[in-house]
Amino acid sequence: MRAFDLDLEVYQGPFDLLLSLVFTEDVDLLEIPLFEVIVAYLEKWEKESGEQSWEEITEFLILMSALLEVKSRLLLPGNEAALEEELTPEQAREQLFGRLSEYSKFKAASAWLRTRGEEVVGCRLRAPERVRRRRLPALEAIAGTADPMVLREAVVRLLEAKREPDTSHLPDLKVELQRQIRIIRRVLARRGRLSFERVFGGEPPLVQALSLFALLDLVSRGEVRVSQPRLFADIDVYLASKEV
Amino acid sequence: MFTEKDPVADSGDTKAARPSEEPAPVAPDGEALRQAVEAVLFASGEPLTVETLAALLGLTSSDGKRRIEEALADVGREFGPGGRHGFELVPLAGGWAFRSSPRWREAVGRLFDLTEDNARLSPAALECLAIIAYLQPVSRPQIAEIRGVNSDSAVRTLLERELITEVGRAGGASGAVLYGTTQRFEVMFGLAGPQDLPPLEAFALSEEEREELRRRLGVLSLPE
Repeated sequence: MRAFDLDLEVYQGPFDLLLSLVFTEDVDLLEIPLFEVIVAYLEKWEKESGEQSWEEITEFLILMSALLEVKSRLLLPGNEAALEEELTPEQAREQLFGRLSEYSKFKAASAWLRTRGEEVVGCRLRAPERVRRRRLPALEAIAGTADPMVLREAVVRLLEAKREPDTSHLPDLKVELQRQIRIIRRVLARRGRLSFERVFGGEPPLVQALSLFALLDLVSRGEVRVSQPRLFADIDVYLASKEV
Repeated sequence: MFTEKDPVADSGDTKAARPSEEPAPVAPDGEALRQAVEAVLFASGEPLTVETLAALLGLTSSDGKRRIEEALADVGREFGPGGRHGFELVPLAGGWAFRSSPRWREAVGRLFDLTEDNARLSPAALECLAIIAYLQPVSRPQIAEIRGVNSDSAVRTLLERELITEVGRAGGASGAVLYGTTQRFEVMFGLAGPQDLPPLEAFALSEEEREELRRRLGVLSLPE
């Protein structure tokens, strides 16, 4: 197939390279809008006034069909067994119809939310300390003015905007790198190895992040070794001295 | 601030609402109760529940809630939506709040910088929000299944905007995080609560639209 370039949100470059990245799982197929790939191909085809051969077009069609099928399967976790059974065109059509009908309800509901949000956009609760005032009045309102009160108001607004932000709603979370290092060392001293998910999975995101830094610190010191079967999977941590 | 359902329990600004710390010495009654409800709602920056109002005003007896509801109804008669004032008393996010009337949103918009709260959500984020609002608690795979595309980025945006929050984990092997909407969501869309959303079936395709969809799918399907 002749090369053509893509300009997608998640990928810019030749189609061939995208394909190999998908096959090597360096790019998540779920992130690729296949519709846009097809549109890009059709645009290229139109530009070339249909110079491509039928073989080329057929090859593209088969490729995209396969990608669509794989993507569909990825989107339906746990239903592999059901998908193995061949659906008749009638059943497939009915299934698709059901899904589109269901999806259309939420699409319409999102449009309702959009309208509703626009209707109440200017309805403010009386919470002046949490709402930023405009930093400055409109330029035309102060340009050329000799009224000191107008200028005073402009300066007051500017100073008000520099107030420290209200952080009272943030939880008082105490977490230290050294403490996380101590925790990991303690667990490893007792058990020899640990599952990151089991020990820190229930912690708030900030604690998890600090624990990961602590782990990286211990790895760099050569105290522990880690293994992860695949991206985003649980991290198995064990003492370097216990390595087999 | 809006992620918790009970503003009294978690808000630093409403510490006077903690009945154990500062109980109201004398519970007001009649006209005084009505004025006290007005004052507290006026001063609050967020919706207050009937229970919170009762605790604030020292109405701890069994009929405290009923008396607050009567006082609210009384305040509502004067400050209800569409009345003669520029602000109004509305049920919002499970409680009650004074807010500026939608009739004057342009004037209010000129006073405040509204960009942060009202930056437009993308169509994808709004679709996810609608799915979460109606099906909560719901997981990312469920959202992806309905939308037919990966929705992680949209869900992340909604989490950052505090419109949704984690509400638990699914049972079984997946243990997927479940999401629900927050009080901030209800305030942003002017909803008294999730029950204020129109029934989902109201958005179902009409018979004509269903026929059109069937026809299009029929045309697109492969010849048998």
